[in-house]
Amino acid sequence: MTGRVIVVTSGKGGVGKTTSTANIGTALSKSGAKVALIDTDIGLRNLDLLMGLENRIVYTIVDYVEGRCKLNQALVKDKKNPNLVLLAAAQTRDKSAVTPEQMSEICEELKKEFDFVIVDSPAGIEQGFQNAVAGASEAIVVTTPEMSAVRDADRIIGLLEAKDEIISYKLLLNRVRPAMVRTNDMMGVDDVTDILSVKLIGVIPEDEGIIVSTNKGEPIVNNTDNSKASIAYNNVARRIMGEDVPLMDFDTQQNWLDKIKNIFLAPANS
Amino acid sequence: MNNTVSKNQMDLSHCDTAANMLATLNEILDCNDYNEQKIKVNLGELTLTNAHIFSLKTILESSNVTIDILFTTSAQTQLAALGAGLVVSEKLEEFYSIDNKDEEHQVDSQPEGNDKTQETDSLEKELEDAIDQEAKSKNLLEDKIKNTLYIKQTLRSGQSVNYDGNVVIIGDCKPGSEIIATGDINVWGVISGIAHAGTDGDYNANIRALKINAIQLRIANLFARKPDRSKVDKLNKVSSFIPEEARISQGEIIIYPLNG
Amino acid sequence: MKLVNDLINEIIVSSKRILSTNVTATKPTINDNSDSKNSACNRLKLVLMHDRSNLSPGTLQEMKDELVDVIARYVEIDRDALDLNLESEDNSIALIANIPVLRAK
Repeated sequence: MTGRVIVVTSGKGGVGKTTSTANIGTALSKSGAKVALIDTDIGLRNLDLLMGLENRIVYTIVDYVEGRCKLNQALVKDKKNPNLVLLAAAQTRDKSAVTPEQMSEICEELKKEFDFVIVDSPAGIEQGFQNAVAGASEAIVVTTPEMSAVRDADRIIGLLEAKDEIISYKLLLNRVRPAMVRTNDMMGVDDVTDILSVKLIGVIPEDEGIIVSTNKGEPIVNNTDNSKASIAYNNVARRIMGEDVPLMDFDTQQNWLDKIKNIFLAPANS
Repeated sequence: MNNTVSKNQMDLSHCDTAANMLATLNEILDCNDYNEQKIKVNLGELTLTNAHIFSLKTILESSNVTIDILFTTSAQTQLAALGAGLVVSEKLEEFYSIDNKDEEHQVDSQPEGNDKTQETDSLEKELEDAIDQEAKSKNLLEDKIKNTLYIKQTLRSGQSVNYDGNVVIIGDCKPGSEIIATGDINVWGVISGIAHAGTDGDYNANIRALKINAIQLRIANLFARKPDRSKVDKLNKVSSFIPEEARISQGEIIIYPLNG
Repeated sequence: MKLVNDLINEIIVSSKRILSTNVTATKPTINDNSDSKNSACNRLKLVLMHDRSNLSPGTLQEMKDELVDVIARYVEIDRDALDLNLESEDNSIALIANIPVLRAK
């Protein structure tokens, strides 16, 4: 078996790389795929917190690289889903503790056993980023509809294009506020894809539930209440698996009622 | 005299080569019924490679036996065993001290009679030997007085103290920080990070703090983690703490309050 | 004088090639404060133009110096008042040079 290695990156910090990694990974594993998450943010790790696995980490990626443990000893199993594992970053070291070569060796190893290897990249374009992309063949560029985030995403896309190993990259537009887009106070989906001329893998609306889920150490896709962000992340996972899922409509209830009307009217018309 | 003394132990420390060890192992398995047991294996100072450890593990597993703890003083064997995911200790005296208990138990549980006298004799002799050895190693331990590192600073995320000896910290250890010591760890503050005491296999090492709120505690090769949904009250600096001590009791790390 | 124009044209053409960016502003810029999205889009496009061209301020300065040297061979110009910038104007990106000529040589 050869799995797919997907790096989640952004350039700018705080746009939701780690949140997206946790949710996409969890959503993929819930559909039955075997998924390994790798945190490459050595020294500033956070993926473990979002997954609620911070108290289970015994060995980290650095311990493996430096020969203190075997790879499967360093893989922390998820609390709920046995298909999902985390390879955590070390907190007390820095990015130079792992080289791009070692990183691609790890990805090669994990590819044999997992359907998806999702690599959470640190912010920036320095060694941490170079490590994160080293083993990947696909990339998800996370951005928000803010100038600074889009600019940094553009820079990252330029760097990804220069890498032969990256065969495809897609954009994940995060933290969209539909109300602000409607009043022309925030760039919309089309504006951003236009400027960056990149294909979209998904749009995630701003959702307070994300903060709650981080507090609990439980990715939002595990919630049963089907919040918008949760549905949106599940859709991203389905698109990654090749399904053709239309973009979610974030518009208000009025439109939602209209849609129902349309459903009822449609058969009569046709 | 048999190679093994009690039912959940296997002493291979007298074997001088790997081949000899594997042959002895087969012999023991042939003569004894270890079925479905977790056993403690003593390899003494025998040096083994990854492949040897793997063979050892596989042979035992084929007889439905798993290794509980592996005792060895050889660094290479330790490394190989750790690589195979085994629990390792270099404190051979622990093996022998468990030995004692089990022997006593065995002697007690066997009523008078039969032709056990000879074996009881040899058991007693062995018991004496074991006690001697324990005393000797205790002396050795006392000879090796550990140094102590004194730090007057709060440890923050990403900071790590790694010391061959005891560590004293006047301040807190924040989440994401790490203290690793071959001896004891004493924190005059709250531990919220990771603390690993007795890293070279010292089961007697312990961790003391004004409040232990650590995400993970490790002593020797054992580790304990914070419960997933612990309803620990938010720590308030002004409230008075009861100092706590974590130490190993019956193969587990237990936190005891130190209130007189 | 014609020669200078040719030279400038040549430079503009080559720098446009460097700036191989999709140049279409959504709307003619209306100075409307309430519509912050459009101002963000337009500013962003300009910034990305610079970013993608790899035309660092240093390179721009170098280009400026060379340009001035060439022009100075034919006319006397005020080097300090010279201004050369990438600007977004009328749905296109232009290299705008403002070169005050003191007198012909």
